[in-house]
Amino acid sequence: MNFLAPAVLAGLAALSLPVIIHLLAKFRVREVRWAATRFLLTAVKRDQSKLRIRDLLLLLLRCAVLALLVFAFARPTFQPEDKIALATGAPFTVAVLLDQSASMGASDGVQTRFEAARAEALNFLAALPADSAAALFLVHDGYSGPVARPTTDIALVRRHVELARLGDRGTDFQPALHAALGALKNASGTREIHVFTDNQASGWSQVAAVRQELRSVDGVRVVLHPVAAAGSADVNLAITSLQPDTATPVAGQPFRLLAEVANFGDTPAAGVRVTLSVDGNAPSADAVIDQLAPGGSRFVPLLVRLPATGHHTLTAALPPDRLAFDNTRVFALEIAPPRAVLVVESRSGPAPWQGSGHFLASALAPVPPEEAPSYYLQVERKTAAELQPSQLSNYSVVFLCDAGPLPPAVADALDDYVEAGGGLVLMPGDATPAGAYAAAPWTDLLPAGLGLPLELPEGRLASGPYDHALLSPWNDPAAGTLAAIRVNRAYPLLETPGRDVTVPLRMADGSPFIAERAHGSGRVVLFAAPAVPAWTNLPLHPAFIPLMHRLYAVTARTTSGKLNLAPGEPFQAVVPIATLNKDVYQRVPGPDSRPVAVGRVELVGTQAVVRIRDTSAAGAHAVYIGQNEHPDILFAVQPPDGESDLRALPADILETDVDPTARPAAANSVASTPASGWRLPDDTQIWTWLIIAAAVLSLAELICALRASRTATT
Amino acid sequence: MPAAHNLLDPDTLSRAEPLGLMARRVVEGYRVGEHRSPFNGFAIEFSQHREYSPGDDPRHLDWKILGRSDKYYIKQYEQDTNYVAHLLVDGSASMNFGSGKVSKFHYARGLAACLAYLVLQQRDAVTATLFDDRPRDTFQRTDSLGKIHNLCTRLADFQPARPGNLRACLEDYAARLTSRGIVVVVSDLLDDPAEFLQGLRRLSLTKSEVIVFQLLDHEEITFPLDGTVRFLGLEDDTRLQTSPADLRKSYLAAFNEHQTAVRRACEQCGVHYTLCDTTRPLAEALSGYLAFRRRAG
Repeated sequence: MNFLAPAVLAGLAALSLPVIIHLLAKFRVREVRWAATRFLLTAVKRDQSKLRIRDLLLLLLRCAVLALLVFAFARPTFQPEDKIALATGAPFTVAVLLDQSASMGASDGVQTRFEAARAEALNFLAALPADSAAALFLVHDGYSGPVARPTTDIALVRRHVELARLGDRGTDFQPALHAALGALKNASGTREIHVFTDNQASGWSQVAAVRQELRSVDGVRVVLHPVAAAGSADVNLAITSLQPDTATPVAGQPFRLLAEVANFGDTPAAGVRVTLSVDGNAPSADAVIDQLAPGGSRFVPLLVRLPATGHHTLTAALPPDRLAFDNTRVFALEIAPPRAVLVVESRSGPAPWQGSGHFLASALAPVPPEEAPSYYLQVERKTAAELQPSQLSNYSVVFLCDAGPLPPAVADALDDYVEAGGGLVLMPGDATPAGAYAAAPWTDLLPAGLGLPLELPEGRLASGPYDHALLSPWNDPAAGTLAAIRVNRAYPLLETPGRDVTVPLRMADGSPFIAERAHGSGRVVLFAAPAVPAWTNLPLHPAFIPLMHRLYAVTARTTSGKLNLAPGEPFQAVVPIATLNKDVYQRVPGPDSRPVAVGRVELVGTQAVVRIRDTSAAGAHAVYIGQNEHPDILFAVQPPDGESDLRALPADILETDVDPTARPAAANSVASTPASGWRLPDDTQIWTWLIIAAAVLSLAELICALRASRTATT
Repeated sequence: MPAAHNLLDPDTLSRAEPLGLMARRVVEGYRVGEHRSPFNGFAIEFSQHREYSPGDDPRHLDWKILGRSDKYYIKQYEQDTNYVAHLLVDGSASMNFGSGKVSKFHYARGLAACLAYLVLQQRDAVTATLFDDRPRDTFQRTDSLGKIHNLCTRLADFQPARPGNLRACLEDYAARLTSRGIVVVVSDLLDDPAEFLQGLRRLSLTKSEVIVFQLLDHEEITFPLDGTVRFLGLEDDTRLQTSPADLRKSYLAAFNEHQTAVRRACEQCGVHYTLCDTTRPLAEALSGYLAFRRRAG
């Protein structure tokens, strides 16, 4: 126990008052010569012990009343010493860090952790001594500083605390602590950083760096104020990921999503129903997980039929629990209209099957000829000689499948095409002249150099597992194996050190079969062999069609940019140039949200671009270009994964050298923070109870004294 | 100190004279409108009958003879020759206590002087003895009113200083008592009631009429003291520091027990008992008692 006004404890000297008064009364003695001493002696003999007890009781009661009053005015508190220091002494310069990460949305049914932390921060600011200064930083995986410099206008800081809102972002204390240390660097007086947080373990991933920085700064103390573990429910289910399992969304076609559901609670969850809705409508697909153990996770496939072309959102949802933000997850996609792809080939005859791109073109549009015009991929086949540089921008992907020699102008046009966001897939073959790709611009464009073709009697593709998204379906044994694909001849792909190249697929001997890299806004994919049976049986393999469609999805040029973002990640999309300078409105997730103007369509280079910076709220964001009735773009902000794990660390995490990840599970549990059911009484409560106790004892003393007085006057 | 010197001592005189004057004032004041002594017929012995003659007081008629024989006879007593009032005044140290201007001893000697004056006024004899643990000073029998001053001088000259022993004194006095009379004991009776009872019994065996005046101060009766008081015993070495208010209840209980025992002892011995609060005027206490005597008879 500590005291907010310890000087008042000097008043305990008043405990001697009853004794002094008693002694003074003893000294103020009147002498009486008395005749009837026999009655006196009899009375003393009868009452002495009783009177002594009564006198002692009265003395104790009076001392107790005085002691309780002194203790009450000394304002006892169970708060730690660092907190009570704020209520006494000289002014402070403090930086208040308020955690607004998604985990602070955990609720105990009455209030969220964020509300509790905000209330505590407000109380803390109100209790600061006069002339103190405070700065305010809001903590998530980054930070924002509404009051970035300490100010003595505490009311302003409190107002900003009141205006602070819960976010959907992750937690990382390091950036905010770094900023707070900078804000206090030149401040005078006692400098402290007070962090109001749930002290979630995932926020201390950089705890070593924080400790190191704190050691390098003298005179700044960090005090953690962990809020009670509200929302530490037994079952805490979360959708931790929502990824497409279909390569390309096509209007009217089935689309498969994989939702990963995890149980961060302490008890098993049974009969967990996961639903999927399109564009916020009623759920059109669902799945049930029979049993999900604590700490376990499960991938759930959800299949929906996609609506018409345009931007759409798919929302997976779980039944509500105490932590709401991770019960839904939104995936945004754009269903494009039929797109044109170009297959550049070499031909040995007029028949279609006599072209080297026959298998490839058939795989890209695997439908009967009568359905081909409505298929989402419109495949055109040309030879290198027929290729016009000006036509390249009409295609989303250009495939060079055993193409003949390209004129330099076409090569330069392809370079520009990829630079602008186009997709280029090269499959060199027999028609490819030796050294054709050894000169500019190919040397800069291709992910790897080409050697001379080799005969591979035992050439096969490597078996999984595959890391690249292009090949992820074949990690499932039910989808077959790519190791059955033979490669008879192949160009050696010569990897260039220092170049950012990924190799999605290798041969069984480890040599690259597919190499890929980004170039400008587009992507270039290089195969070691063309899709012709003379080189490899890949075109005859069942994996060929899905592989080509996934290849198209990976490399295709898109204008809408990245549609699924992490919280705080800016959104950017290329829009038609005709919309330049139009107002841009954003509608953030939420039932009552309305479109709010956030800027205008900007000119970036030669393109019109929409930029949205406020992406802190998880869910579906709608972007309106001009005052349209329907949104022009939908994008999704997906909540951070680590926030669902509500385990907290002890408040002394900065004062120890213990690695938080090395702590036993029990120490990491929410039990390390005060239990939600019972809290230490604050100083006001203790003060009140002491006053009540003093009043009760005073009443008892009064009754005793009155009884004694009545006895004396009888 | 001889009585003659006492008489010459101005201090003694100044103390005795107010005593005598007080006794006279009290008694005379009481007798205004009265024509006979309230002591008339006290302890006197029947002498003879004689026939009634005109002029005799009809109150002395023997009504029993008149009822039986229809003859008028007057009862005659030896009242002029054998009536002696024995005044025993407690002079122990405890009698020195007095919360007001008057101590118990002062009150006692005033009471004794008044009684002596009354007795001598009607030409009866009186003797007085001052005692503590034993008889200290005895004023010899006299029937002369002129000796009242000497008696008052002796009373005024005495200073209580020693502890008392009432039983021994009463027994001693009873042993020396040769004729019946009236024995008046003036004391605070703070001794052990059992001891007092023994002495009283011995005295009552002399067939004298015994009258007890118990003199107590008002503070001794009500014990109204407050604060912290150090009590010093008047007759012993008792030193007791206490809060009287706290002890009041038990003190009064002990006091009442004592008083009950005293009254019971007096009743057992056929002794007339009178309690005198020394804060009340002497005349009030005396008149109350004498009125009682007159009613008795």
